[in-house]
Amino acid sequence: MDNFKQQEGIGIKLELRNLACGYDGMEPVLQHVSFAVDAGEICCILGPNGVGKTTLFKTVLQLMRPVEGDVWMNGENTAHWSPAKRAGHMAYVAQFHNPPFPYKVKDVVILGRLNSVGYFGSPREKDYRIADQAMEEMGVTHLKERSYTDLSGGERQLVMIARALAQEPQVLVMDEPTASLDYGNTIRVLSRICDLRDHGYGIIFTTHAPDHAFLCRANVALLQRGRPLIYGSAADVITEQNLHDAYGIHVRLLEYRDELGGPMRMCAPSMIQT
Amino acid sequence: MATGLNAAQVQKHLNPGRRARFRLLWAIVFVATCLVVLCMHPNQIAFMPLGQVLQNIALFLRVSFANLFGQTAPRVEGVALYAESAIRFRDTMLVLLAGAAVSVSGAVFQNAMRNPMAGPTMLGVSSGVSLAQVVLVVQYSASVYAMSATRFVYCYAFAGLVLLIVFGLGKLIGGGKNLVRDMLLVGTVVNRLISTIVSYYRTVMDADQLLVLQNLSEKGYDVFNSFFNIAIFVLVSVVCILPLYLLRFSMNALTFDDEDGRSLGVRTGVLRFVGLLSGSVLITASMVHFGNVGMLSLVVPHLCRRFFGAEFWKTCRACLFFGAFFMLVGRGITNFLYLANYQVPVGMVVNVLMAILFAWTILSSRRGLVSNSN
Repeated sequence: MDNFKQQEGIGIKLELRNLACGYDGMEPVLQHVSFAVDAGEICCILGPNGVGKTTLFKTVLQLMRPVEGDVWMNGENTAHWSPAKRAGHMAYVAQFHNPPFPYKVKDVVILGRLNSVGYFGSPREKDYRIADQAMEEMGVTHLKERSYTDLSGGERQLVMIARALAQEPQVLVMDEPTASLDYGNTIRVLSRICDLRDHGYGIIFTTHAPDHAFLCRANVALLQRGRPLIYGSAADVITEQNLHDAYGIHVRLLEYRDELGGPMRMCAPSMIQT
Repeated sequence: MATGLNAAQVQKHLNPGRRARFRLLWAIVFVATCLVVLCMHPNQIAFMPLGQVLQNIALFLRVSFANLFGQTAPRVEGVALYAESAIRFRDTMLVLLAGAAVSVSGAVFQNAMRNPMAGPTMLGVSSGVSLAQVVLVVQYSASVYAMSATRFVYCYAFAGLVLLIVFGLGKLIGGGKNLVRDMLLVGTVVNRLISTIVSYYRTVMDADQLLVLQNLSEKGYDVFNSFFNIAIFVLVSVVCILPLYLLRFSMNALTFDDEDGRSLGVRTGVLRFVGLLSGSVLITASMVHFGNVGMLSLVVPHLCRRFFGAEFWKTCRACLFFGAFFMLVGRGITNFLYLANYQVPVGMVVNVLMAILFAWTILSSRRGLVSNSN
């Protein structure tokens, strides 16, 4: 992908510095959140329902103002960035996307070029080429002329990721990209996310399944109510004790070898919870 | 919704060559319908000679522009069928403009509100125009027929005032956090209030005043059938459609939710404001210069999206064409429709036509869903 070639040799870094997130006039939902995501890294955000994962994402994308702290990108504070500038660096894939009108897939993906085209512009040949490349990257070219509202959940997710890629961002921010997907589609989407990581994108995504962090060999930011954020590699953060503290359930971690012989882990929750 | 399936099927079968032929066919149908309507004699199945009609139209335009710029106008006395041709032409122009304006207004509102059932009357501007018409009739009675400029000022001013009230109160209620929803709520209340006031005056007006009011609201095209009326309508329409054309790609961002749109790099609030303002002024212009054609704004965008896809400018372009076309067909039909010696307003005929088309759209969508599930 052209974007990767442009970024080769240039380290991108998304940094959250002592971020506190919340709604106006209410107690902050999250406090003292600090971690960084580099090019070619995945950060998986884990945490129980209502802990503030989506609020964190909205704050990172400046869809909400931080209560405290800053979000930095490539050494620059993003607080005063225009929406267009931010869109050129960070792309967002929302959890739910249900447009009221039956847009074609190609019309959905080309919207990723909005920040480049501008308010008064129209996509040009270069923009269509980038959108086509993004669809090819996500393996959805065959769906180009289909109506987006007629697609399955997994296909829609891949189309939205293609749209995000069309923005030519450095970081992809995905809110539960595998929510409501069947097992097969979940693995396909995670596989694509790993491919994007290998192409040099920085990726942050939330998930309710700790196994996803193992599968993607991601770093993990574990959010817990009333406790400080824990950040590190999946092997270091996803421990039986941490999972018990975060979710209140007993989980065993099993080790196995992947197809290349590398060490892997998976979670085996106990169905007897006392 | 299975509506997109038809658009995909249509587009699959329409390669570029076929698409061009499809467009040419519709252009021919449109022009032919225009010519038929222009050449019809009122209230009979007979036609004026096409050549004579076209000559008269050219003459009419020369006369109108000469009068507009204070120059010496060509003589028209003794020109066969001149008056009929000129009236027919002005009538047809107003009908085309109204159809295009109302349909685009509907498409813009549906896009801005992310709701296929949204309509440009939701913010109360049409009620503002209705109230202005009532005030004009109460103040001036039949003299209002000769007061085009006053009528424009009243109608646009009342519509603008209602829009300001709806916007202001909407912002006051919610602090701007969910402005569209709050404006819709206020718009509903304002619509109700104004309807009540208009209904009251309708009950206390005498028969002559009622007739004037009916002519203003239902048959403005007939009563104010002047070049000046058309010129103002064209000007207002161009001013409203121009920003929509310039923002034609960005407006697509509104159909996903606001956060999604903002993450794409656009300020969705600004786009929505421009869309709602343009749509409101377009529907106001249509009501002021033509009359009431409610259902067109709901049905034509639906149909256009179904057959041409949901992309914003493709929908608007199709709405411009088909909105004008359906109004033209309605105008042709009303040439023969009289009730109690009064010609049935075009708006009424078009509303009936739209109701039939809407029912067909819904039924065929459900059939599509059923056949898909089988």
